[in-house]
Amino acid sequence: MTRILLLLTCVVLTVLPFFAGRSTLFLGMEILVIVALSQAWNLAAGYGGLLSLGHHAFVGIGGYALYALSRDLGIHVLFAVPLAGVVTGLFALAVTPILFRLRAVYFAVGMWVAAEIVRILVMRADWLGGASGLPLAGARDLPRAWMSPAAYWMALAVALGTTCLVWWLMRSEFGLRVRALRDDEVAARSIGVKPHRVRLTVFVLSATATGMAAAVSFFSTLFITPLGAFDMGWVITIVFVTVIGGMGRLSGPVLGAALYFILRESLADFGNWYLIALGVAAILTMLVLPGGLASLMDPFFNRSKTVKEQP
Amino acid sequence: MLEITGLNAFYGDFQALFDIDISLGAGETLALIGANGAGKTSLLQAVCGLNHATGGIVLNGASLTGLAPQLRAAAGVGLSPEGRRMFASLSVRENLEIGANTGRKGPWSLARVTSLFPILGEFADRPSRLLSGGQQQMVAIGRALMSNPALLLLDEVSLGLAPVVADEVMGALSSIRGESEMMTILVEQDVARAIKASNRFACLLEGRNVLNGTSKGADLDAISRAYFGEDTA
Amino acid sequence: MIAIDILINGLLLGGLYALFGLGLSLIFGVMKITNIAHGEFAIGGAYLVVTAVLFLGVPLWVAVPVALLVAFGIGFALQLVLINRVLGDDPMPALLTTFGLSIVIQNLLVEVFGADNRALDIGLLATSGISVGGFSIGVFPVIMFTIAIGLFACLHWMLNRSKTGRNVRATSDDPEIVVMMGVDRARVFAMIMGLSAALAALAGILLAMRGSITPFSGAERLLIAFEVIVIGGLGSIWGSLAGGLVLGLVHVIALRLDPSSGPLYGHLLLLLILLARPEGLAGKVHSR
Repeated sequence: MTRILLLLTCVVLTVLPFFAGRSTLFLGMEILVIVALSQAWNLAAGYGGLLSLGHHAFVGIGGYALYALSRDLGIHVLFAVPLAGVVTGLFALAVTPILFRLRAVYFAVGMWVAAEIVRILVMRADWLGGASGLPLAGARDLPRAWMSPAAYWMALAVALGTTCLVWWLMRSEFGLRVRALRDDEVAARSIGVKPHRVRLTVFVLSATATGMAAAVSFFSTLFITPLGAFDMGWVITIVFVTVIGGMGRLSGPVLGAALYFILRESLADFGNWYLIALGVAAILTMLVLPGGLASLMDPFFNRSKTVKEQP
Repeated sequence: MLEITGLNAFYGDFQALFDIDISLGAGETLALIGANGAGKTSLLQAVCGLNHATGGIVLNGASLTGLAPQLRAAAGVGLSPEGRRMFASLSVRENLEIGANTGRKGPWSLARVTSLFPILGEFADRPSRLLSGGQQQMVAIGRALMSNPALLLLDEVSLGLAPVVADEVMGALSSIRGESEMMTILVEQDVARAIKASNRFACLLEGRNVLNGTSKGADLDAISRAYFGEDTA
Repeated sequence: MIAIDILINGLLLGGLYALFGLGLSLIFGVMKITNIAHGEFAIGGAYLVVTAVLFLGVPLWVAVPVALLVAFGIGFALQLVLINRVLGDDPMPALLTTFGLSIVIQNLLVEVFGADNRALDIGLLATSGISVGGFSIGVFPVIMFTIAIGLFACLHWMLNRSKTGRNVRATSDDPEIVVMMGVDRARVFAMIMGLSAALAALAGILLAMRGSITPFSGAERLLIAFEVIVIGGLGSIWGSLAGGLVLGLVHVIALRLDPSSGPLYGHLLLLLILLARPEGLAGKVHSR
């Protein structure tokens, strides 16, 4: 029954561009991007215990990689989007020797500082357009009518792909290692889990997915600036969505994104109040519902995703 | 008077104590005996309010049930915890003085503690982390005494100490035994030493009180059977 | 000559940075958590004074102490009703909670005050300087520096000589056992958060007097405070002072050599230090 529903949802989401108007499609793309970004962050923070407050570095790098790849190497934008994810993943791999020395709070804030460094460096890089940004060079080749459906479908692919990746990873033996490591590193080591390798895999996968989702988002805007690409607002949204939805739960980012967009759209006339509402909701979630909205659904699915076992 | 009735203690879903009843009269010392994991430390922590427990604990007429640990300390529960648990950044003197933080009146003062353990007077201004294990144990006991407790809880005071040092610490404790209304619960691995240092004993096995008795002339064989969970009939 | 000028200005700026780090260092030392809303506490404190002076016409010398008391109260209350409830072996719930708090405060400030620059006018004091041996030194930076040093000394005295300070150090050493000394851990934490918030607010007020602030200034202040305590060795009071002075120097030198770099070199220094100190970072309240 659940499967049929899921399949039906996927079909409806796929054919949506044939029925929906431009603004609906744009909102749909935004939602899917946020779902993908939150799934990616959740993979690192919720499952892997690598709580990062600097994922906006990966958002910015993914976006700029798309623009640089399509302009400088002449790669078609549709191919440049997945490649942008790969570039972001490689960047993540390159910074782990420094950042993986940090744990917990230091990792979280260290990532933030790293993101700030990347932002400042990009602002000072003339070949990336400096502080004023870049237009999307390869966009001329694309038929205009297909721009927003293409962005939407790519967002759908990334959101579904990231969700399936997390689902598949966590069902696999690797997922067991990830969870064992998050719950108790000493015990995990004793059963042969290699902490560094596991964390590295989770972190690089998370960065790759983040970069890809960001590339889709900046594909649709046709222009990129350092302030927009490396905006702390990305992390704020991702963190709130995941915390409210449920950290370390597959349905968390989806439920959180739903609440996020409901609040944002219904409070659209009241400036930043939706952010205040979200912040309060996130704090309340931490206080009274640490498993997030997803944990409210546990009673309906008796095979709960995070069973707490007694030692 | 200490009255413990129907005490259960829990760590998450794990139950550490089952229906413990213990009563203690003024000036008495109770030795708590049992193997590792029998629930001795859980019992002391339950009295202190450091774990989740249900049941009655009444100390000199005042119920401690549901009180926060700091209020139990103020009501007269003094603890010398397992592993000493010095405040590492405090000097020896500060470690002792913080014991008096509750402001309870009574016979114990810095001068009295340092006359019981003269070495602590000598090392008063040293950082506590530089002391030997035995000296740290003296600080932990002294710190608990400084609160002028109505009930002194001593958790594994001879653990990890050289036998001669352990005897010195236990000797100091017996020298103050019975000279005031203060009650003592002593947790000790060494059964013979525990029996020697107490008026009464209680033996725990897997969270249950399986044997009680008077220490004087206690049947060590019966204790040993209860200790290992052999037939106590 | 330029070198000495840079040195003086760097150290004077470092005093302010140290003050930003001091409150965060206290929190870290006692509770082993980081308060992501530290920057917003600072900026929020400055906006309290802005409200009092600009909108209510309260004189500055009345507004500042009142704002510090209010900041203490807010920090105290937030710890009691909120942060104490998410403390545990895992520092992450506290991190996420204070992160939420920081976004809420920031956006409340935007809604109430708008996103424009605000400054606190201190009149002639802002521009007056004294000449010492051929160098012109601003009077206000010197006052700021003196306040910072004075507060470090006060805190050192409080931690080492007072009964409260002893209880605070003991709580930092062993928060589980300290309750058996009759110490109310929740209140100690609340007092420390209040103190931290007041110190942050003072630093924010001085920042608004020295230059200007917007509701978004908090994030940068948090990163500066974080860098100060990491450079200085975590949880160490005097380390934070040293960390602040070093970071002040780095920023002033960077501004001379590479005017468009902003906080870049401070950030790089942080990563460098993290790289050089692989043994991990654990802290206690020390004052030596």
